[in-house]
Amino acid sequence: MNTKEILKAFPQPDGKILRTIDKEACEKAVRQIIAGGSKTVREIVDLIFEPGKGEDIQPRHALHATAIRVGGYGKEKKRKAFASSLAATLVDERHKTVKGFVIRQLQVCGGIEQGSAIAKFLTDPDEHIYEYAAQALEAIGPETVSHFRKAYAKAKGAPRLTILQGLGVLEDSESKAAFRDAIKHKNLEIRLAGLWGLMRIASAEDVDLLLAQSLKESGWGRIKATAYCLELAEKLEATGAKKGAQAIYSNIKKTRTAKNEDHLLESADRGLARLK
Amino acid sequence: MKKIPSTQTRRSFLAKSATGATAATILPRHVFGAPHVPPSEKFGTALIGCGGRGPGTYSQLTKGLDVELVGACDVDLNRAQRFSQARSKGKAEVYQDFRELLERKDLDLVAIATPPHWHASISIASAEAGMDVLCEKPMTRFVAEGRAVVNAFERYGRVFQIGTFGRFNRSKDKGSVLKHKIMASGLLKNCEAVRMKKGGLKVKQWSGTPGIPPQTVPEQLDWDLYCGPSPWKPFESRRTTGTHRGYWDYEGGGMCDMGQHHFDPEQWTYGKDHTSPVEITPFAPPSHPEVTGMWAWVELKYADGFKFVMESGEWGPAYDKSPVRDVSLDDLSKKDQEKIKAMPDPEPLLSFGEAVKQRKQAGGHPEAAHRAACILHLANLAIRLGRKLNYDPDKEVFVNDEEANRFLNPPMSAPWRV
Repeated sequence: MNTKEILKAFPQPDGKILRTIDKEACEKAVRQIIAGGSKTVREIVDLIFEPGKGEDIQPRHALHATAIRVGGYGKEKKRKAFASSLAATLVDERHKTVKGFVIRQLQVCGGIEQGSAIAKFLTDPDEHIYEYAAQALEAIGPETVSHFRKAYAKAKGAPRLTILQGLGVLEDSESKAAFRDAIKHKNLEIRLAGLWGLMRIASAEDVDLLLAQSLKESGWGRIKATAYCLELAEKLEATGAKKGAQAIYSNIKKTRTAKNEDHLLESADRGLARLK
Repeated sequence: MKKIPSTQTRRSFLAKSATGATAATILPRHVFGAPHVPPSEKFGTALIGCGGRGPGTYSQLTKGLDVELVGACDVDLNRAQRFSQARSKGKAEVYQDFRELLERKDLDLVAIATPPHWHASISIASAEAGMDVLCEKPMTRFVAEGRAVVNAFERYGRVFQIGTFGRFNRSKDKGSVLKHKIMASGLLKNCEAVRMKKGGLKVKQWSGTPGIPPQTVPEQLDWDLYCGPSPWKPFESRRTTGTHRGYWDYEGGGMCDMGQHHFDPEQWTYGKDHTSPVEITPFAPPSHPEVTGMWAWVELKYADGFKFVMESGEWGPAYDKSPVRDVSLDDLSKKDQEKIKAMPDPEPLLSFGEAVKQRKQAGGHPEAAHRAACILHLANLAIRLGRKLNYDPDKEVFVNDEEANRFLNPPMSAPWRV
């Protein structure tokens, strides 16, 4: 069936919203898209435009519906085939916003097989596509971490922070040096991402580093850096590394003496009580 | 605030119970050597998110407390200025970025009335800065955020109250208290009750409009900060000012707008404040990637067999899987009925103001608010995914559905993270 005919199953706004929608017709269209394979997928992506440059409500709806419907237990073959077809369109000449939309669908249905195709955009600052790429890879899971490591080595500007955060999301203990290095950066948010990364990997050997940095920071930086110290202490408690947790709680208790930080002192007191 | 003629601080903590659940117990400040603070203190307050629900949420924050507004914050500076003018004749400082507001040393209580995609990050940051929080419903935008809020308020011993209050009246209603006791007793092993919420979830009202071309960002609005933890999208005005409810990036349609009002009291009544459904079955057409849309019904079944059903009444067929029926003493043996009658009534729920003064847990505490928000999130995910979902309420993950799990904790845009 002609792709444009298939897409007609999806609604156009009726009084601004998609109130007139035929479930069975849409489900049938999804099955037709899956059966149509990579040719149909590419034809649908061809009908998607940069926002404001064309009418594409139906193809966007259809592509997303299919990305969703190929997920779930027992559908692995269909999901892999659809994700592969979708990722193949990322090499075509298209506006970055369209590729961003495709990547967001891969966030829903993609697998490690699509990692390389998505990772090409991790360092690309145009149209926030690096964020979409990072979020898709993070959703796909820890197997994508090598893409973040490679990209971080060459990333500049806004993508660098996003990639560093991605390494933290994926709890990459091999990025310990990158997290430590980030703490020396002049930009507060990069420093915080470094501290957060060390907390995420529960790095017991960096307890002193986190505590020292939390004291160097002021204002928002101090609030967040201290929070990461306390979260690290809880992680260390959970893994039985009580010495590290005790060091954090004792330090917080000793150093947070201002009236507006007494909640930190109390939190440290509770932590110490748990360790007894 | 630090205007009290005292060297004492009002800040005290809420303790974590031995079971790990958030407890209603108070461990006063003097346990750790500091003197008790009388409840006559004046509190420094702020509102973050000054449009729409903002003024109403702020009023809830201040009920029964002696307060002074010290800050008004909104990504739209005009709104923050208007609120400061209206409530403090312009004395309260105006902020566009909540991070700067939370650095204030004279701030004790924060009302949060931003769109929901900001609720968790700002609630957590407020607790980290030592503040008590009253946060507009729905509590969060997705499941993992809620758990992070619960953990943060336990960590810092702060008071949190969700901005819905139906459970307070429920907890005083005799019939509801009886049902609460039956369900909380654990005596009802195979519960056949089905509670239906038909209509009232504003499906069409809060459906989004797809395909609107990007517009110029108004000068007074920090659009990047508005997007914050959600995926960045080009500005168009319907993504803000109330109609944000129709976009998955910020809320979850009428389900999330109204659901916490409807299901928070139900959750209390039926003793589900510390758990979530295990099976979620939807009837809905494929959803759009950006905007919320139509659905017919969702059935949410708990481990004990109890079911909540929501029926939109605005699209599709009516729910017909199970007959609607309530819980009653007749569901129990005579012996168990006597046990229920002998049970003491549950402790009264504390208002936010009382909880702040007494340093106890508020009635709409983080765990309860999170579990109520989960009802809506799980229902919405079933609608979006179009399939039956099996959920583990302890681990808070879907069972055997890796793609569905991606929606429980979607990655945030840097530098935002919970």
